[in-house]
Amino acid sequence: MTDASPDRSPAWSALKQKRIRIIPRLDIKGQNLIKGVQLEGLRVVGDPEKFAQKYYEEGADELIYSDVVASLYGRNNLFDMVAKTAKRIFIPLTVGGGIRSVDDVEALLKCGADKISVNSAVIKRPELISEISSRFGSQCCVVEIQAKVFEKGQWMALYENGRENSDRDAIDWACEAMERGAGELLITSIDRDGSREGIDLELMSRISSITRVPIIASGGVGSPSDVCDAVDRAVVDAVAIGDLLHFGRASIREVKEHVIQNGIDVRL
Amino acid sequence: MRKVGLIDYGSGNTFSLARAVEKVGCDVLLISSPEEMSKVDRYILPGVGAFGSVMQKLENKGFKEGLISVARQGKPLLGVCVGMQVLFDVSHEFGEQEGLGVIGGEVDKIPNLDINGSQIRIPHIGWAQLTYEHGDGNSPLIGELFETINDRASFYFVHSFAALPADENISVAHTIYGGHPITGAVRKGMVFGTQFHPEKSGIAGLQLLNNFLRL
Repeated sequence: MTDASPDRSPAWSALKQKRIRIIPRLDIKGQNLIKGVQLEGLRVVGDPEKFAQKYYEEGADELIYSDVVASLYGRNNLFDMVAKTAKRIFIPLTVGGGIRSVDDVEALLKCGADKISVNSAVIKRPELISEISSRFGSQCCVVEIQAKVFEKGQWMALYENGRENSDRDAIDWACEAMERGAGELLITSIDRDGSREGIDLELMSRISSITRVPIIASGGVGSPSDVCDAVDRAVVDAVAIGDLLHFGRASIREVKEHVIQNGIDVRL
Repeated sequence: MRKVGLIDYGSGNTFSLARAVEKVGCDVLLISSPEEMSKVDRYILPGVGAFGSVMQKLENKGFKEGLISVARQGKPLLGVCVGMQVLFDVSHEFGEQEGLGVIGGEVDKIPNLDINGSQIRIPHIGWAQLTYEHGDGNSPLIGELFETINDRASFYFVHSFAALPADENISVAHTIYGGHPITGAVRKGMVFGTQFHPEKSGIAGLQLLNNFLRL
């Protein structure tokens, strides 16, 4: 590692050189890959397994499957989709949506998920975070925080896919989730979701500066340079991308080549 | 067709490892009791979660002696992630935990400060390139585990603890995190270990598994 650049906070100097991850985020409803705007107005994009396969072949570092209607045991349940995907895709797969218990986690891991992400269930019962991480390891437990601006500089943590307000401050909740054993935090800006306006840098940097676990920033990536901003200015470890990739406005390769040209290390 | 035994003791991503092994054209036998170990002559030991709980489960299922025994007999054995860590003598995760002792050395926390004293994130999660220790050059099989794999290939790591082999010749490859060398792959005789997940490391990881299965 080289010396810290003088314009950066010394506390996080090494992260500039750290290799970051590009993670396609596939929001799923029933059998479809969908994309919304601010988690609403869902538009069908296509077959999630085909997109997953394509992203794997194009060099995605991981994949996130997020079931927006949380129908873990419903008619079109996630288990089959996860198992079929995991058979053909040899990169880490994080699965979220509808997980309520340690047994749900175990069932998903058995289908080939590598990590799970939880939001609503741990807002209702935060102890579930430590139950999951002590049973399966913290590396397996991603806590998603769906943050929405309430007033300038304040974000609240929402749940039930953005429909309910937990009355928890998103930044405080991020810290609590980490203390309880989350191995990674997936921070979703509801305001930026599907907006193509860029990552919420203030939200992400506030959280990344006070936590010690890896941060995945989600919501708002509209161009490859938005990824650079998230890494350079908010010091996140990974960026989740939906819209930009799903609608073919950029490929993973193009995103990665752009960030490399801007001095950020990624796997090509 | 070649067959590999996947030790199935209730802690590990057996699904992903089994699919990856099948992908490279090998049959998988899930081994859920030590008696079944004699049905095959090469093994993969997965492991996720805490070192102590992995060891506890291996002991409860009676695998401890069996694994030590196949290692002694020189049958190929590949430990993955915590499955590699438990090959060592001891870990300092949640107090001192005894391992299988197949490889001398210990397992300890990844430093949470980089070499400049700045904070780094733990767990270490992500894709990292390896530096190969070709030092003595007298171990041709080491080459075979990584044979035909591009020198610049990256592998997927996710861990908070790392192995520190007592004998530095045991280390096959390392990566760098926060400026610190982190053991990436080890080998002692026919006992191999990777801290990274070959089954989650795309084409390069599949190639490594293919190499192990054909040693």
